[in-house]
Amino acid sequence: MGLVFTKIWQRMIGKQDMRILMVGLDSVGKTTILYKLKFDEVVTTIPTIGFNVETVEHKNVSFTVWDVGGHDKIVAVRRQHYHGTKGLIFVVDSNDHARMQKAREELNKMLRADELRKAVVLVFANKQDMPNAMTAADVTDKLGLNDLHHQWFIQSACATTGEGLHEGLDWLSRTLC
Amino acid sequence: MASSDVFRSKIGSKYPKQEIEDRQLQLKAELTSLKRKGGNTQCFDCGVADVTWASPKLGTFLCVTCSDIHRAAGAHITCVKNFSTYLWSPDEVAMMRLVGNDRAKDLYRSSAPLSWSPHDSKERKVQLCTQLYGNATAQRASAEMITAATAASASPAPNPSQGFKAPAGKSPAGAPNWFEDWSSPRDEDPKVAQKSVDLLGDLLDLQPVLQKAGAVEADVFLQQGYVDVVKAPAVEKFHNELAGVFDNKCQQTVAQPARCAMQMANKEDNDFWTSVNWDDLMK
Repeated sequence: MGLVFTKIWQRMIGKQDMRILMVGLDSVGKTTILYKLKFDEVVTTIPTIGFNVETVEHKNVSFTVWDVGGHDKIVAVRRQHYHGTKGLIFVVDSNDHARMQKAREELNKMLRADELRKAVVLVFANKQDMPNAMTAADVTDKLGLNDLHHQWFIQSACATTGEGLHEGLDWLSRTLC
Repeated sequence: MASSDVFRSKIGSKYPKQEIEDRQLQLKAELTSLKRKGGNTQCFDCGVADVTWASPKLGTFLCVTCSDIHRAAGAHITCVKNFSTYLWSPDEVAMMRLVGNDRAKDLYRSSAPLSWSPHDSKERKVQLCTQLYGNATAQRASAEMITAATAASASPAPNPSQGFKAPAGKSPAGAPNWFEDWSSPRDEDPKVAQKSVDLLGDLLDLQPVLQKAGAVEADVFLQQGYVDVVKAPAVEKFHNELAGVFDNKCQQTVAQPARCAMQMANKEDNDFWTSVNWDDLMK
């Protein structure tokens, strides 16, 4: 009998599972964000060939975060990861002014996929510690987020210090639960 | 995939994506030959004998560890790409050809033999990287080289069978005779040499398959692929070098996810779910 109550209790307040896909151009800090969230440590990463996947506990949500490499050839097969994705984390290097347009094209191309029609989009304007980092407002403008049909939120972040990361997950859990 | 897709190179040019994909084997083959020239065989920054990465913005060949330092230094200073999981564009390849590790020494660090020691801490390396490449002189040198490389690659696509010819009078003042170097007569029959390059391109494309098959089969494959050209002495030398490269590649214990990614990258989309060994992947 106790077991039944436990199960009901878990159903009511227990952890929810959420599949999250984290994407972005190469060298924007996706893997650093993932491991900062997972271990609260800045790990020395090597460029991601393929993907990393970790489960990140945040409040009562268990996020399964798929961090998919941003290299040109890997991007071509990224669509395989779309299925069942409720939330998309799009990471931008706020310091990389030259590639904002490329990032915008990538984001728009991805969001046209049928599997991501209902996905919500969290944008991390990462690398805020860099000298010429754009503000979240500038990044919003450059990425054309206001034109998106998806529900979105932008959060300025710095993966190495962890600043902004949990605020971003807060929004995801509020929006998806 | 829409044919109107645009490919943006990391040094500021735009190309139709299709064109880049079509020319990939040729461009990769040229990179492979560049990697074997002079100082390009060692990482520009720390000197280790691994050049799997490069900075197209600076025109230097790097090891995987130093590529991470460049990433950490920031996109306003440098950027990196590897030779396997990235697509390369003609301007980037021209940049690598134009600069390369030997020339880069004069451009970015005239005195010191290396940028940092492989044993320095990451913080120290990033600090040195920022100082070395982030200063105005280095950035100006890089920008000038990028302009020259972009101009060179914008000239009509060279016909591989004729070698690369310098457009008359277009060579920027002070630029090295790299066109001449590239088009200077080789000691072997150009047709045979070209055939080797073509085969090399094919083999590079088949690399994941070779790795899957294991080193022994890879070697057999290599022998068979070259059986009709190995008789020419110069090509035989080339073949031996290539065999060395392949042996290295096959012996490298590539991490499981990396291997899976390589498989993924070479599978048709609908083939994917059945082709990946998920048990291996989740280990």
